[in-house]
Amino acid sequence: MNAILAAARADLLERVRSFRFLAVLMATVAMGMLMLPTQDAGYVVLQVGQGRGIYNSAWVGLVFGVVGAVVLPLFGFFIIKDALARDRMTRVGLMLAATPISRFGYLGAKLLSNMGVFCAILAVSSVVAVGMQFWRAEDTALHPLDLLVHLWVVPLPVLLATSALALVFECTPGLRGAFGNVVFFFLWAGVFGPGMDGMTGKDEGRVVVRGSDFYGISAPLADFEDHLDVFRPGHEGGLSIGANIGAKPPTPVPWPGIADDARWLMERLAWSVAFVPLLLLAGVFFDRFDPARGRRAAAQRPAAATGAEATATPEASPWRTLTPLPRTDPGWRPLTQLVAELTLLLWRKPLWWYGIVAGFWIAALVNAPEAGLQWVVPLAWLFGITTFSEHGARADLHGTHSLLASAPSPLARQLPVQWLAGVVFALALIAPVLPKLLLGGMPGALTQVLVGAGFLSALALASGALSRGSRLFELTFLMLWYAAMQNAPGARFMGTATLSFADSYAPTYLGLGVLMLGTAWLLRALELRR
Amino acid sequence: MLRAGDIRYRGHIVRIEIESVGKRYRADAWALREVTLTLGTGVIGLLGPNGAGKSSLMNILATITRPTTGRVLVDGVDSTRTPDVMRRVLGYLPQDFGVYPSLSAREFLRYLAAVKGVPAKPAERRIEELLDLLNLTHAADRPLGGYSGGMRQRVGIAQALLNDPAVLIVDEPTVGLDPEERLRFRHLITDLSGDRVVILSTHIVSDLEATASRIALIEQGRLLRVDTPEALMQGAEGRVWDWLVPVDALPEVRQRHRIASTLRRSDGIQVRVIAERAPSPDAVARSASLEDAYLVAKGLAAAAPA
Repeated sequence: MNAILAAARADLLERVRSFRFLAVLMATVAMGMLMLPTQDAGYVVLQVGQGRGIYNSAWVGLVFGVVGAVVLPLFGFFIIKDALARDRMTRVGLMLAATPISRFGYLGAKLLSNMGVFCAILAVSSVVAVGMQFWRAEDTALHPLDLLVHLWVVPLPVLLATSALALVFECTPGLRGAFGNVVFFFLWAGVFGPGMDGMTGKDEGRVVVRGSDFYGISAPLADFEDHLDVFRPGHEGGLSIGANIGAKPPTPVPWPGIADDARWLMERLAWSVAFVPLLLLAGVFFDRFDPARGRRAAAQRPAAATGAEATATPEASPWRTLTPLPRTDPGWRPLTQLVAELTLLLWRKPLWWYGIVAGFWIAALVNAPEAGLQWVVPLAWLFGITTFSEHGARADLHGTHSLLASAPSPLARQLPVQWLAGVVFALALIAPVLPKLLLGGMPGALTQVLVGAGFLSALALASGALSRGSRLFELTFLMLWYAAMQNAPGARFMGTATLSFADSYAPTYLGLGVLMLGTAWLLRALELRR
Repeated sequence: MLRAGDIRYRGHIVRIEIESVGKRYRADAWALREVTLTLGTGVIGLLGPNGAGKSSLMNILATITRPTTGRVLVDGVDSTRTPDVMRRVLGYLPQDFGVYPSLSAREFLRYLAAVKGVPAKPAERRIEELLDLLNLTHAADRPLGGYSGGMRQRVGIAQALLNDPAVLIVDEPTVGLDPEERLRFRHLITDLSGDRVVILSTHIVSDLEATASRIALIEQGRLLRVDTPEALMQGAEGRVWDWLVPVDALPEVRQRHRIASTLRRSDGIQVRVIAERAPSPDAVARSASLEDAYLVAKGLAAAAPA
């Protein structure tokens, strides 16, 4: 047990002593300050049937708790899903693998560390929640138990599940990288939507019916609705969680909370225990950092150790003197560099990858240009997410920064070509769509697609420069993509067939693309000036 | 003096002047202090313990990081203000570097040649020569992810030489190389050093013995001494002793004297002691190796008043 606690503590310390963790806590504070909008703020975070609780301790805790249960798992997954990856990268995993700690003990330590991160976020949220209750001053009587029980008990089982799931993903070959992040995003979206639908009680004339839901929010919200009935009998409207912009100001209703509801507390405890078996599943896939296990390991195994090629290392060739290079100026050769960048983006992909791209091309060729724009472009760009995310942070991910930074004019020569290569890659995925749009008399739509490709490439570079990793881009892209597919206003960055260039969102994304590229430039320039 | 706009790629740099260079990472953590040094053609070896500041100095010379104080002049142009004056003529092998695991060695070198601005045709010839020279031709088309540490290190050496650099900065270049490859690397450095500046940092003193025309001793961020290996060894003459001691006396000898090395023999332990006077009447004076000379120089620096 000592070993597990020591491993968890070391892992947590390593995490909290990073700038990224500080940024997460600062974002938590910033988000927390938006959780309790005033009546004239123009948005609502949590409302039931056009009512909300007066900002007393119970309701304030519930608002923070609900957002912690619904939204935090999505962001949190991207924050915590590096517990094993870090040990792989730093080779600490190899040292731990040689100690007596069991695989479940090790994963248990990582689970504790993951939960440590979440608990830190909830702790900061608790402080912000108290501050916000006093700031809004609708009810300044502080009831710590009411606030803390709602704020912690609602999200904890969900966060525990997220922590365990992150470990399952990290242990499972194929889910460790960007593809796993995509899978989790859709898992989150797939659980959230039906989860919310499942607790509505339209047939019973209610907004929310109490059940044993995973998110643990139907019980407090149903209880709140009972109180709402007293103040606003026959209320209308549904359940709204998240930034509901433009909503009518809801009616504030006093609500004492359900912090003393034993049944609800037991349900939350049961949900917490229910996800522990995920840890066992992670243990099944965990390779204990054995470099000889897994497909990737097979690809990386030195050929000298594999059978026929074991004798392939030849005798060193006779000594030779290098031929001097012609004394030309090492000038900028953007075309050569573009080809080199495209090699990184397009070369040496597995055969199935080219097969799927061929599928997109065929789909674009056999369908009308409108359908190509509607489906092929978003799906192909979603398919390219792993390549885009790596493209934006390639030097950071692979440690080639010092090799590239010691080349002439690293920023001025490399960044524009990297951006252009990203655009060419985005367009290559959907190549047949472009002439079809042109030939179909839709030059406005074609321009929108070009702007979308430029924006995408700039977003990848900016996200990579900001986070020095791939996950910020993946999360941002997935949220934007999902919103676009749900026809959320302004989200369709890949173009709309029915709109002209001027009426579309393309001019906005053109500006955003320039802003992103400028951000990437600035951040990389600062990096070079260290 | 040249200005930034006058910079031309002229093949060879004759002079690098390091003027009072210092690097501070935190408020009170100086990695490097007041280093002043002039470099011309030939190999200069940086020698010092871990954390002495060697890599910080190399990173500053390679324009990867900027000095907190001082400047570096390349043919009279300040490379801390105009880094391209160095980057145009630089080949750099960092101590820690990564590769793109899905690319082959040939593809990776092509990529870096493009980034360094080497024209495509000469780059192709150069890459083939380097692959051959570094004994990588047989593996040149395999993904780098499958390379052993030594093979990866050789790819690092190859990339540093891609642009036929007039200044070659190599940080711990022989890490992971087997003895034969290490020997080959020394030949390579000796070959190259005739008409270019080579700055070599290593823990392996024999690498420097074989290649360096000058050695800079660095400790705790300060330059202790710069001299030829011969002068350094000469300075240690009369301070190096071989002494045969019984096995059970070794712990006490270790406590009382600075030990350069020990050698187990059938009749006891032969201890090489660094001392101003013979540690015992039985001790025999020996010629100093470069390693002995390094320890002597360190000892002198430690004894010197601050």
